[in-house]
Amino acid sequence: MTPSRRNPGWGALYLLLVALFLAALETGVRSHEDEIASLQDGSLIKLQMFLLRQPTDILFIGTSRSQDGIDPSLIAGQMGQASGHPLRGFNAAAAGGSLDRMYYLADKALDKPGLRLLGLEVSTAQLSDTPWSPDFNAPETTDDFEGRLQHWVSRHVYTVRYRKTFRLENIVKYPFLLFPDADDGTRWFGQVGTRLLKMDTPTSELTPPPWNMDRLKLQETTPASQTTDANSAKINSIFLGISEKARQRGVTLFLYAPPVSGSAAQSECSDKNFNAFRRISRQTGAPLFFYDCTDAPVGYFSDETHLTSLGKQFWSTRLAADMAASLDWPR
Amino acid sequence: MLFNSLTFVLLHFVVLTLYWLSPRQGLRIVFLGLGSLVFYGWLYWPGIFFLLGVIAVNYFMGLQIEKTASPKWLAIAVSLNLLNLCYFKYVEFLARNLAALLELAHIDLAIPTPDYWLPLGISFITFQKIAYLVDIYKGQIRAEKNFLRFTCFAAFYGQLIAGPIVRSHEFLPQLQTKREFNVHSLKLGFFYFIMGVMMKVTVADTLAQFVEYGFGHVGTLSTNMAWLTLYAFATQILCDFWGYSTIALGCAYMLGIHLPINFNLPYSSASLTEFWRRWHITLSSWLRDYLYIPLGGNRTGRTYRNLIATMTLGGLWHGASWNFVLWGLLNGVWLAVERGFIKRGIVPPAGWWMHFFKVVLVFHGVCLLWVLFRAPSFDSALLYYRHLLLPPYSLSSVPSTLLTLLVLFLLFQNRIGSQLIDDRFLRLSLPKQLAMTLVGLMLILAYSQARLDFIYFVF
Repeated sequence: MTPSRRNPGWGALYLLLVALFLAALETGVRSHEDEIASLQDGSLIKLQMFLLRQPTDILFIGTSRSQDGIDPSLIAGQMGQASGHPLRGFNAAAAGGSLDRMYYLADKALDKPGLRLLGLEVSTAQLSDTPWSPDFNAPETTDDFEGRLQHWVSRHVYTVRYRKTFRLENIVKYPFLLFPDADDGTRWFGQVGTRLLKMDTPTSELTPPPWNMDRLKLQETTPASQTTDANSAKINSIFLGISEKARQRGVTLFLYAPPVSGSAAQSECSDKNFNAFRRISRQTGAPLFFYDCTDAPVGYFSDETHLTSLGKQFWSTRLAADMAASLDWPR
Repeated sequence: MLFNSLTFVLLHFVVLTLYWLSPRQGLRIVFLGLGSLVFYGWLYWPGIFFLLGVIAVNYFMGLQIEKTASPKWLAIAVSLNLLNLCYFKYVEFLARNLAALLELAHIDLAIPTPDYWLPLGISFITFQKIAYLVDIYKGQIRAEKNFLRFTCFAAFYGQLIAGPIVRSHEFLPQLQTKREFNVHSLKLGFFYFIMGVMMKVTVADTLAQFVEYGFGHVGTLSTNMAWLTLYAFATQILCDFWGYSTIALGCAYMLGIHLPINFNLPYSSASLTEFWRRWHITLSSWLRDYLYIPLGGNRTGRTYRNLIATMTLGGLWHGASWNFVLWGLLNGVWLAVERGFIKRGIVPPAGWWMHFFKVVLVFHGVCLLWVLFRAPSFDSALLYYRHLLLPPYSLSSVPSTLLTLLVLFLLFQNRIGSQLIDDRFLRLSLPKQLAMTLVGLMLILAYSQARLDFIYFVF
């Protein structure tokens, strides 16, 4: 040690600076709690991007099927043409899905001024009652002293509560929040099917096969009151809650079921699903755009439930046309 | 109590505060001793009585050995310690093997295998006490008369469960005089603590998931994943144990106590002899001083036999299983071969490239031996060797976290490790000190997860 560094002041300064850094970090995390917390979850970060953006007219909330299938800029462009003035769209869909998550995202999103159209995906995944909580970091509550201590620290020290934000894989997401207007929720978020299976075919190499989206094999057969879903009460209450808030905010709500292909079509394209979605649509007054049973060719999919970029373009164009034709919304 | 728990941080903070606020050394020792007993008995409080019993017996034996200078008292004292170790750690192993032998001889005799509590860190505790007793017998140290001070030495939480194996002449004199508070010691201790927890939480615990999976599903491993899993275990065990030792040193530094270092960049060794001078240094020196030299060391013309015997017993010390015995034996054989080469003047040419080649070779040799250490059974180890070395060779995709951690460790282990020797960290500029500390803190924060035990706790 050099003589100057033997001075106790150096040691004290070191400890003081470490303490100051931690205090500054804690202050920073507390003052940007929502943004910091959102970095740990795909859907929360998209919600934050939406809230931080310039006012956005059309918002989509759904699962990875919507993340890969919806092109919000394309849809907003077409809708804008129909309405006579430019519109902005954002895709807040993310991998995974549950009723709780959908409600949380929709509830927060409806607080942002400027929103005019809110699209909610209806699908088996989206309507599942999988437990979901935005508080991912709550430590497991164990009865021992260590468990209680961890819980206490996690509740009172925000740097600890949101510690996973500081992981390398999350730190790289900071630009999403710094430049929320630079993305419509799709470009920085790669296609799920492509990432997992590497099956996406380059658009230029694919000849689009015929896809008749008008074909709908199912008919509404079951009266709404006879639906026996175990979580139908929860579904009702959540959708009614969202539609009520949307009505108060002057936002037009609509539902959509993204297309599927292959064997997934057999499970998604069912009387039960179709009638359950129709029931929700009728109860909330939100129009339903149903594409589960369109005999979609597999060539548009990277797997059975996720569209390729060509499939996205194809379906988004159709969805925009259907929306422009049938939605009654404040232009 | 685990070093990487908030409970320990709280305990250490309380002890540290009371220690430095105490006006008298006697009071400080009381707080240190009490803190150590709480630490040891936290998970299983009857363990405190076991520990106090071991301490009391060795305290008394130390006084007797000094008073009588009789080899009989030394033999009794060492035997008591070894019996204690054997009873808790090896009886089940012996019973299992005896049952297997009887089965081979077609003798149908049921041998009861005991199922009881294994005292934490019993091997470390035993080795430390034996060293204390032998040093008194040799006249190298005086027996400690103050029971409180002896308790503090024998139970100090900084080294109690998984080392370093601190000798009495290194520790007891530091308890005799009251030390002045030194902010540099506190700072150094804090840095060691952060680096130790970072090694454990960020590196070892994260790699543990891949190692657990790999060694649990050997049959499904491709060739590249078998090697990467092995590298992961080599890194995990180093960071787990080095992390523990570094936390121990850090806690001690904060209390103004200096403990010996236990690791010095072992994977940079160019020979196995050098590796064992850098890996678990306090165990290696214990084995040398209290086993290898008493066996005759280099003097009797039985150097090779002594080396192999010492390392085989060292292997058995690590665990009651034939895998550990074989691991120790192979280490001993390798050391003997190295010694043989040197004796016959067979020395490879000098040069940085040759040094590099030797480091790579030794690292891979050590890794191959780690298979025996980690595999749950001998058959599983053989299967692992087949996947590593024999065709058909196959490739599979590699988890990015695993690869990232291994590469980062490879790049930074020397940079960080070289600051964990004595007070080298204090020679860095303040910005560098801050940068290393804050990066360590952030990594701990980001990657802390479920509490995992330290690997060496079971030894």
